[in-house]
Amino acid sequence: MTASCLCGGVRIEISGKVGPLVYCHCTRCQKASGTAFGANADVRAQYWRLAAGDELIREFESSPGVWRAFCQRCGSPLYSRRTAAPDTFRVRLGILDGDPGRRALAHFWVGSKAAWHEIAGDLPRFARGPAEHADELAARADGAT
Amino acid sequence: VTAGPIRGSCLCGGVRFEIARAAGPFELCHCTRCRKASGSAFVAGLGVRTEDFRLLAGAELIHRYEAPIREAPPPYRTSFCSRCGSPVPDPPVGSSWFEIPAGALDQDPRARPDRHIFVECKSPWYEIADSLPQLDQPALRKLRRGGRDGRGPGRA
Repeated sequence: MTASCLCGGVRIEISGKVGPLVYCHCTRCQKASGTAFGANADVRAQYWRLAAGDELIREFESSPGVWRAFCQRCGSPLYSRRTAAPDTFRVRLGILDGDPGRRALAHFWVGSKAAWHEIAGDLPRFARGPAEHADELAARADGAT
Repeated sequence: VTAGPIRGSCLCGGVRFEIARAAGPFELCHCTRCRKASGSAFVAGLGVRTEDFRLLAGAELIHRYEAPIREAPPPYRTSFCSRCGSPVPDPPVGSSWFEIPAGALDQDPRARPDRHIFVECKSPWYEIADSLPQLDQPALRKLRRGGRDGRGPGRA
């Protein structure tokens, strides 16, 4: 599967399965996307290849050790990465050119959701992020089988 | 009811703005370009009268991108902070109305989304679960022709 920005300058090839799709309602994701929530999935570095546009990518450190990447020409958010987790890229789902073949897992950081946005539907809602709710998510995954 | 301007800013805080009020409509656009511009499921575009908008800081940081015209002018246009990448409001020259990215707001705009648009282009991984109207391109064109609430650019 490929991912590409609005202007097409940045192209990423993803050769393996992406991780669970998560909707993040934290304020930073709202601002970085300009919309109600960020839509993200983790991709292992071994499945990630930057095919074009290296020179267009700019990274902004939105909190210590967290880097959010965007295309300097068109502004498309591309991914985030953590200094502490060098084998993972958190891709922005809006730039995917195809269907990742998965559906969303849950909403996260719902306490900071936009005042104007109402979360609808049956997906689980969590007060904090995927890492903080790892145990509950694992239990749900077990229960679903 | 709170009065006074509604403030907004980008992620790094370099671009700051305020609006006196929201004018509407407030549309969630699922078109391919909006998904790429936001990196998310849709762009949340809140209609604002240009006279109600004031840029407080960061004009020098705003970078504009115009995508090639697909059907008819105006071209698809997006503006962002060149330091942090956040979409930011940027009224086209001579416009009396434009859309701001609602995710940039720091305060409640006291407006709520009116509808989903370009739903035929919706991403396969996102399910619309709310009860807002869902308009495809023909339905949106019809609405735009119909009345004052239909204003807003045609996107693609």
